[in-house]
Amino acid sequence: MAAGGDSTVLKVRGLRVEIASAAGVIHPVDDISLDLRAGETLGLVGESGSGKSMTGLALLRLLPRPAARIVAGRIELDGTDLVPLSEGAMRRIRGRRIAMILQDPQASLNPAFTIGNQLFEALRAGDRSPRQGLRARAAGLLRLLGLPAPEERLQAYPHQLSGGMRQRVVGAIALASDPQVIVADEPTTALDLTIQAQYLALLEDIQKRTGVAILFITHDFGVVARLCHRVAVMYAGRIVEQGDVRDIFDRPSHPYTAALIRSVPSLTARAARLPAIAGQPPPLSALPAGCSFAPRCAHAQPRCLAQAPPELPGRGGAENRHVARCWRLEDPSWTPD
Amino acid sequence: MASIAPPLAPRKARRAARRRRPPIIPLALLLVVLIVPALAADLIAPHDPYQSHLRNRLQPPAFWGGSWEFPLGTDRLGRCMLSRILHGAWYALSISMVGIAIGAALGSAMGLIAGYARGLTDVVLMRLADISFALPAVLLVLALGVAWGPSLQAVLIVVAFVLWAQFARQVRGEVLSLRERDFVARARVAGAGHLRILLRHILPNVFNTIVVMATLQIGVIIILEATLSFLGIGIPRPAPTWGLLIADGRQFITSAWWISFFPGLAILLVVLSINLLGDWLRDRLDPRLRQI
Amino acid sequence: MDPGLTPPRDQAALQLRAERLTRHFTFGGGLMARGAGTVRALSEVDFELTAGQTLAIVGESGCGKSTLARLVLNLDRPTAGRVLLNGEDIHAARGRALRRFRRQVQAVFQDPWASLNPRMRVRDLVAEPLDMQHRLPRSEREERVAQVLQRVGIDPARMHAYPHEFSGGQRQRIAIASALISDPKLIVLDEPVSALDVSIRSQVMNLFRDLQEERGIAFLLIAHDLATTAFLAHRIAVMYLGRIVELGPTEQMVAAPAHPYTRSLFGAALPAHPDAGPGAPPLSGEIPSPLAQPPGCAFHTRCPARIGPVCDTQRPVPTKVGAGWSVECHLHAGTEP
Repeated sequence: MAAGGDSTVLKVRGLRVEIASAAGVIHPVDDISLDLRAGETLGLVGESGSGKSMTGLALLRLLPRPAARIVAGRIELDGTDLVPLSEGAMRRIRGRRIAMILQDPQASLNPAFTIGNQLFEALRAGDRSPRQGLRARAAGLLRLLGLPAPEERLQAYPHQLSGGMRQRVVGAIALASDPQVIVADEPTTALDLTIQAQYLALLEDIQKRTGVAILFITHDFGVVARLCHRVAVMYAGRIVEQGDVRDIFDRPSHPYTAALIRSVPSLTARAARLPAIAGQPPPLSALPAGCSFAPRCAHAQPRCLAQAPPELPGRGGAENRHVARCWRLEDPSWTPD
Repeated sequence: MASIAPPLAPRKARRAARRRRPPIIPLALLLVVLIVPALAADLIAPHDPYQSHLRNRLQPPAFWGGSWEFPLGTDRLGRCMLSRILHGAWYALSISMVGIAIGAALGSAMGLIAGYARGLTDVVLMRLADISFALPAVLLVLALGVAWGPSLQAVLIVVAFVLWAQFARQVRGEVLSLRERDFVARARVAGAGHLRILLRHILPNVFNTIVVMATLQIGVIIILEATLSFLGIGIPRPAPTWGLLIADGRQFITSAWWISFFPGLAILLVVLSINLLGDWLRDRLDPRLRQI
Repeated sequence: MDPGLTPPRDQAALQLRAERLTRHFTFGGGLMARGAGTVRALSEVDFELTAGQTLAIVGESGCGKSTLARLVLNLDRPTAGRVLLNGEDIHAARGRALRRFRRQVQAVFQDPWASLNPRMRVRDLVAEPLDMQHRLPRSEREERVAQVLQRVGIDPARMHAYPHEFSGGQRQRIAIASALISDPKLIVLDEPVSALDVSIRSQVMNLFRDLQEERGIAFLLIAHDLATTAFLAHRIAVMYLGRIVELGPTEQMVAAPAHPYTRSLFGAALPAHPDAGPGAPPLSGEIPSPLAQPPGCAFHTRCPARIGPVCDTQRPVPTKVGAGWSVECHLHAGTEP
């Protein structure tokens, strides 16, 4: 679990990504600040187009070039700012100190090589260790990720494994060089329910053992509730609320977060109707003035439509690092429920 | 949903940028070398392409010491090369258009049927396509030439024959995947019959492919037609097709190079332009890049 | 209720019955086959569905739920067994009877980007089920299209647009409008919200509930998301390897699932709150290949409650454990009330 304030391994400040598209210049990631501590899982939650995946790519400097680029901000990994690094220097950090797990394991594995080959490569990239012992370490990693008969799996090709097993292999590759941070972009979305449950339990277990910090990108508040310690909610390229998971669920301070959590149906309580958010997210090329959520917001006031809100302390309190971008928080008695 | 495009890979991004500006130079070249001459050779050609000027035989082009009366020189019978090339454009254009229309229609129909019906129909049609791939076109046109003598029809049949299998294969491949798409299932649930599904739901979705393929094939067919004419089994004389013009200049290639050179240049420019245009069209119509 | 809508016709009349419904796919024989085999996608499935009811079919990938949907939609023919709609075998229907079936049974598919032909205008897409029945004069046709679009919350003025001009949620509404236009008695909902964004999902789920109340439509819901299922369904059928292992009323089943697989599946559902805990311990192992189904109870290879050799060798028979609630499990054998 997160210890003292000094264990912050990833510190993002004012990150801004720009895309020059046919529709004009847009900012899919706009002034994002995050802190990720060792042993901590931060859930980055948002809908499609909210910029959550783009944020994940930006952190590894994997933005699709030349269309997208970082135009402002700092990404500090253990005190080193990644933004000004050369591509060569970045390549030495990527995969070793910060790794990524993508949604589709099929796309992350090379179909022409065995699982073993791909793991060996990742292990050697990590520390240039001698060849001997590689097999044992690779098999150990697979075992850590709960793959049955790991020695045999080393000989297998990706297509011979099921989706759940492939995702474990991708996890093993990400962990191979013992990174400080893993960025996981919806790694369980393509998995079946029982396999997803296995995988999440596994991630939790691995984190306890290795102390790796995880940035978990998802659209699913269920995953957040299950796995995350802290949560950042994105809407239209900005983080609208950030805080401890309990504060987010019990004291949501942005109307968007509150409405999203309310709109998730519960397995046990069969409601007559689901509270829904009207309308749909605005296109990034035509963001409304003021707060981006204001046109859909039940709590909006004239000021919300005119002026973008700053980050204000959330209902969980500033000491718990709970913040939200909503004007209404200026009134301490106000709640978005 | 925000309308921001999914992150494009760099290569795709470059293609996306390229597809927005139409290729002006290839278009202009095509107009000047192929389309305008094909439609209006009678108006712009300085001479009758069949008219001999025996006193002016083997005249070099104007810039090579000849006169502006015959800007690109004359052949061994003193016929104006420029006029002959301009008139040849009509053959190049009409044969590729008609031949491709026949080949594309036939091949697409076969591909639609094969991909949609699958099973035995598919196997039989695709074996037929394999056979037509394996048969050399030149042999076929020779056989037809022997049977009928060189003729426009024989050339068109060969062109269609060379083309249909390619269209059939490509279209079949796309239909195989399209027929499994949910919108086809939805149409069936709505009560649509096979014919409606084929014509209303599947055909419009392979139409882009057909158009792009047809464009890219124009170059191939112009070269094929020129080859046949060059071999003397294409369109019968005295039609001044570009292949025939090149063939006629062959024996003078050291003394009067312009006879072969300019028709060859015309073919080169046209085929190159068409391929560039086809590439642009493919990028432009690529459905994966359309939504941006 | 919208007064402009045609009143539901003889809605109480619907009764859908599946009897010993079985679909096997055989491979092999051909040149390309690596070995002959039979996939038992669906085995001896029985259920009933009446007007105004929602029956959910849940299960993980490969459990046969999509095959079941295709059979009920008459997109595929069963190997054995039959589907009866008001007593008529739907797979025997020809000509007029088939047309009547197509009018009465419609579908909404998962991915609204794939289920709407990109080359057709919205009005033609929506009107297609109508066009297949009879040619209406243009004004009347457009009026019917406008009515259903209005009902699902799409501006009828946009009926001349193409699908790509709409967002995902709007496209799904268009697909729903099309499914409604022929006034069907049964709509098969194949994962109807899983491709939609969280904030859009609840809108669409509310729409389904409203439509059912207004028109008495029966829904056959194919889903893997349990919360969606619990919100929409009156009864749930849980499938595993082609068989319905448990079928019962939603509330009771969610409260006290009888089959060990149902228990594990519901236990794997993500919590609605961080304090809800990790649920049941995740199932170990993977779903066996439907090509090589285990003998006896298909679930015995993963079952946490296996009682003995009887599970490995003998196929359990459906046992009634409550009103309209039956389970295929040896644990409950002989407990019939």
